[in-house]
Amino acid sequence: MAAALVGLILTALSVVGFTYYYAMPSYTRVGYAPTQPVAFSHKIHAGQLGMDCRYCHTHVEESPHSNVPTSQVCQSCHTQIKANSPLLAEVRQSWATGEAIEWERIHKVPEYVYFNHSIHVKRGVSCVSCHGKINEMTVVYHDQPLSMGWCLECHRNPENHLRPVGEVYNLDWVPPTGETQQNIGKELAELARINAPQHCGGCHR
Amino acid sequence: MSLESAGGPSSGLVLAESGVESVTQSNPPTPAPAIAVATADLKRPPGSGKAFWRSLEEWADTPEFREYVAKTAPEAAEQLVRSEAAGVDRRRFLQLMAASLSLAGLAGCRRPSIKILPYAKKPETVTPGMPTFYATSMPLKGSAIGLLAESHDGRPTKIEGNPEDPFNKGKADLYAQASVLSLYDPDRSRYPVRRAEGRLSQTTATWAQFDEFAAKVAERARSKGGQGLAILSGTVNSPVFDLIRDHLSQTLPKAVWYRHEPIDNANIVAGWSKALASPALPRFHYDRAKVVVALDCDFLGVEAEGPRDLNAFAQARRGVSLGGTMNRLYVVENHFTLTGGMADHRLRLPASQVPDYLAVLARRLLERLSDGEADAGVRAFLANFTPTPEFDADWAEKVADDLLDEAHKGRSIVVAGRRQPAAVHALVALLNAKLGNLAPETGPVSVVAPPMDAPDLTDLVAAIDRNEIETLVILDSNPVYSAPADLEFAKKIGQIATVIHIGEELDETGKKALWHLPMAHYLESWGVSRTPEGVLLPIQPLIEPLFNARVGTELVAKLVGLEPSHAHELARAGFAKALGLSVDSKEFESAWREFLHLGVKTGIAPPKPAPAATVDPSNVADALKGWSRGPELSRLNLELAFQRDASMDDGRWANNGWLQEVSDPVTKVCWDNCAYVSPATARELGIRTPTSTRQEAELVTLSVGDRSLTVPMIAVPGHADSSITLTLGYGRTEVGRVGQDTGFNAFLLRTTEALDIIAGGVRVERLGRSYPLALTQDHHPIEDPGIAKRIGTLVQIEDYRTAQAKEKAHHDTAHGQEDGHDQIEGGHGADQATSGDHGHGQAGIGTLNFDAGLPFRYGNSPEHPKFFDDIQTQNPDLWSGEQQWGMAIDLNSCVGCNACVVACQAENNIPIVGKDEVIRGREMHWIRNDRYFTGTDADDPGMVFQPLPCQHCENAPCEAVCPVNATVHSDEGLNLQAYNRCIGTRYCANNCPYKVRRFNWFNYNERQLGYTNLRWPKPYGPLTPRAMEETLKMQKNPDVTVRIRGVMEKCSFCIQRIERAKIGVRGAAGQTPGADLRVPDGGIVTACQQTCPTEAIVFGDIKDPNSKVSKLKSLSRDYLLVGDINTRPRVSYQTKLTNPNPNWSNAGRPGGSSPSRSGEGGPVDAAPAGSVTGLESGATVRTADAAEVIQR
Repeated sequence: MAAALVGLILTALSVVGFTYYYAMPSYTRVGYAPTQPVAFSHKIHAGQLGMDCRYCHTHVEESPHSNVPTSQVCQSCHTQIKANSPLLAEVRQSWATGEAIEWERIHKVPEYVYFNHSIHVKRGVSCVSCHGKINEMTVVYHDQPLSMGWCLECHRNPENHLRPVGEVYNLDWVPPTGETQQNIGKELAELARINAPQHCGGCHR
Repeated sequence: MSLESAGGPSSGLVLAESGVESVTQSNPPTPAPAIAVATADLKRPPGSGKAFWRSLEEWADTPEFREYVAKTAPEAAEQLVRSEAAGVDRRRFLQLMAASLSLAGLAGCRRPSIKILPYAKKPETVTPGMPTFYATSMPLKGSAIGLLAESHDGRPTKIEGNPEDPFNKGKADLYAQASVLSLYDPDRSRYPVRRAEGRLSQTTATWAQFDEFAAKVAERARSKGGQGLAILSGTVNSPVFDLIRDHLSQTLPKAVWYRHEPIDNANIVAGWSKALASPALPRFHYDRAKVVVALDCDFLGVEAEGPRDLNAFAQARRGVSLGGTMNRLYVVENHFTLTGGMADHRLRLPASQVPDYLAVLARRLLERLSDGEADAGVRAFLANFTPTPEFDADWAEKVADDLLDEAHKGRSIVVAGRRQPAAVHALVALLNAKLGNLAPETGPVSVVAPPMDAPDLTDLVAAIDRNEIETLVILDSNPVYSAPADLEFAKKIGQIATVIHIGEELDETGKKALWHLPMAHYLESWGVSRTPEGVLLPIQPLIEPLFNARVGTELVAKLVGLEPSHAHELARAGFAKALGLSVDSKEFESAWREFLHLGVKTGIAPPKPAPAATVDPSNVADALKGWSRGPELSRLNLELAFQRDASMDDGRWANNGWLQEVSDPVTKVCWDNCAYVSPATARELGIRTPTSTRQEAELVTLSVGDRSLTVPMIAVPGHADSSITLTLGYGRTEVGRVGQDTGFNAFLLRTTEALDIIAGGVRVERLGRSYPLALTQDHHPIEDPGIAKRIGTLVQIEDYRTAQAKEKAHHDTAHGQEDGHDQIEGGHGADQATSGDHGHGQAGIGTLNFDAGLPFRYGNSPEHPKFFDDIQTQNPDLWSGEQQWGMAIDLNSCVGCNACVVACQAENNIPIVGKDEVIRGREMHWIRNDRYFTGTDADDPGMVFQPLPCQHCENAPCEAVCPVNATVHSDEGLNLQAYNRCIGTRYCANNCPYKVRRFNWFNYNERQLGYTNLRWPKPYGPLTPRAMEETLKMQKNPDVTVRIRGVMEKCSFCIQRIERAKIGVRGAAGQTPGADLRVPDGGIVTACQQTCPTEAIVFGDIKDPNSKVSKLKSLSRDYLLVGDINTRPRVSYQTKLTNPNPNWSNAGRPGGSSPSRSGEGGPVDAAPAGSVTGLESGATVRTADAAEVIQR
């Protein structure tokens, strides 16, 4: 009896533990790095060349979606630079035929979550907070869990991720010496009256 | 189970008996036992019984009905399953589910690969994720409504009105709202279809084959100068059609264009043209009229041409357009219509006896308005006229006196409906002229030239009989279905060698044609539409034709050999011609661009100038010759009046699920049509009334001459005696999945002798069988506990002068020395500059001073004197948001048109559920329009509509009981619903007193009604295919979740629009310190508000004392729905006002002696006892005192 009870408790605990570790987005999503049809390297473009995120992700400031760039955007440089590179064959074909390039989607929240990019970047949350150091990624991987609990962490304490709007797209920004993220964040949150929704309707409609 | 006969003599109504067999059973029906019916039961002593009731069963207040209401979620009850739709009950369902569960394994642990497909070359104006709006218009029987169509990623998903439209002012009616679903209808025809030589069946063809054929047709027509070519269409009014007709008159002069509009204003045009001695169509400006007399004219309902008349009338009803006075409406009609519901005085007369009333009224008027010789003929005729019906002499005296009143000079409208014969309209024209209503520019009545002058179907049939027609092109019309039955058009059409049908669906006419060509929907078309006043509206496509269709004008142009024939070119050419510019000029290009951007072009004269607005009385006298008195009607000699259906129109919308499911606003019948009679006539005929537990109507056979039709028949309170109304547009045979087996084809009884009213000779024979009818009138009852005390907090109706006096008193106390604020309403209306601060936070009556500047009035009710104070301390988060959302609904403006219901359905991805589920009360509309009858006379009640969205209660009963916290309150006052959290216990719906919560009993979205295996009796069963048609997915709004079964949903105050606006404002503010992050008033409009033609619904920030909604809530007329149960709803209502003739004691007021509850006639009690308005109850303002207050 006692042994059965102990066995039962151990089983329950191990199931819970297993679930808590392995079945959460922090395990199942973080690190997902699928192979893309075109071997695009953010490290070269955003890192080495220093291109602003918005050059390609053009509608991030207006739209709920941060759009993946069109082949037209790629070709705006690549009709001249590396115009015949075999790595860009897909892009050239897409541009010629009008067929979309089938990118593998990495960051996805469930369909009943209505996430809006524009309000985040307009109010001082950098790409880095959710997507990690994209400018150092040759292949983009899923950096943060993007689970509801994770989102709420910031919504409850926005000072942990706020930065001046001018630095949102500067993925290498660190708080200047003498300041901490918390201080800067708190000040910005107060001045701009950041009030990230914590009620269900903020994201679930 | 058998229903006890309802209580014997005291109830008096014949309620549906379980002994009546339903249609599908094969054994012969046993005749139901006759029920003794007491004679005086349809009238009650004043002050007795319920003040507001929604059905005759509720009027009778049977024990069964009380049980039905007490069962708080009758839609869950299993014993409501109808016997023949055995389907799947709960036990069986679990068995099936267990079986399928054993087959399901783990779905697989791998994360599925999802692709992103960006554009290769993105169009410049598209922002993925943000909607784009395009100006277009919906053509409408010779007129058009200007629209803004919302497009998500190239798919139109929602229609709104275009605020630039000078008549419709940004509103859209329910047809426009539902038209977006018709675009995606999977049953639209997808290919040209033709019948090969000598064969009966049709096969699909290609456009190339048609082009070849069209060239031959055009060539043959040209060679014969158009001889033998006929075109048949509905009423069209467009510069593009002008181009085509010009081409015809030049190159094919012998071709004839015929017009077939089943529900038509031909009588109106005939009458007015006669009276004015030149072709004329009257236009009514209801906003300019202080008195309106409507004779069988439902201008707010089925005779409305879009939202314009509703909007104009509501402006006058609120006093906005009349300088603060309210208008007065007299209605004489047979069926209880929306216009009758708004009437201050209403007379029920059979439609064929309405002219008799007009004759008496006209005599009275002309006695005083006569100018001697000119109208002697008319007066002589009227003097010798003896009316058939008997009605109170006051009806002529008082109405005439009111029309002749100095204050109303030249500010009245006398209007007759389209069913009335031309003679009536001629006389109406004369009366309007005499009353001075036809003053140019300022008069409430004006005239324009009729938009289309063409021979009608009778002429076409005559031409066919003379073998003159070789080729008939039918454009967007269905004469095989809707032609008068005696023309036998289905046979005639077989006599024509070549029939080409251009239409959106392969309907009855398409099936008989040689060629059927799929026509593009207006959302896929290029064109230009025009109103009779000459205002031009563009039709521009938002999407390429989905189903291989082509624009109708393009096809006609091809067939008559007009080049260029492409619709875009034609539209440009037509517009250029209307403006008098050349298509190649630069001026034209910029005008065209502006036209497409703005959506309207005013200032262009219509092609035919308006006739002079002078009436020739001798013409009118001529028209009256041969006018005989109305028939003597009785139970054995009934009249039958055909009426346009409030959702089907003339049958064109039969496959539109939204319109099928939205119930008729007055009778609350959906998915079918029905014959309507008055309760008294029903009693005479022995017709049983459907009840909430037995939603079946009795089948009868209507016979006229040698034609007959079997239809269900129900009693409608307020209908005229000895008259039957039957709506058109149902019973179509060649229609898609949604429209199959819906209703009964009234066109089979319609003949050219009596297109609208069969004045007598109609016989009714009871068949002793019943027919299941989807009636929503008793659904979602709001239980009214302690009814004796709380009468009136459901709906409130007040006399307008009483309300004014109260409002003045209310203001005076609040503001001290305010003066002159004696307007009915403070919030609507253009210039309210002086009424700036109505926020009486500190010193307000009945307000609470918890937040300075808050105008909201939550009174502590007598039962709970400290409740609000307690709730404030317990829930400090309740008001923590910077803006607090609330809504005000004005019952005085709402006419009951149901546009809000369909708009909400379009915006929020609400599925349709089908007739069976509606019978169970499971319709999914988030906002419903409750219709209450009022008064103590069930034969002659008043009517009031109450739109009911989720009330977003601050003290929400639903939030407290959700076991998983799926419904919570936001800091801005919204009651939220998280669909992903809901597990479907339905405890919240159980607890909601307003019954606004809707549960997805089945997967209504994915297991489509009729779009699955039609053999399966229950379309939602687990074994049916699970897939939404691709095109229907395209209509869904991507900003709103599409819900699956097992999830509760309800009105969300359009939270997607709220959040979009907030994101816009905050995003624009960025990190600017101290920026104002509030959305300005008017920045958020809910879908229902945006489309409401009468602006009855107002949404906004109640924390802002200057917002429109706050001003409305600060009115003394404002009350909370059953507010004394302390739910603290954010939605409040403003009482409906009536403006009865002060010189007329009480006859003819809707509801018999009084529209609300007082015992004596005359002024109505100011505030009903027990209602929580914070005002003294029982105060009565005598008319004399009120008169002092009003200086008008």
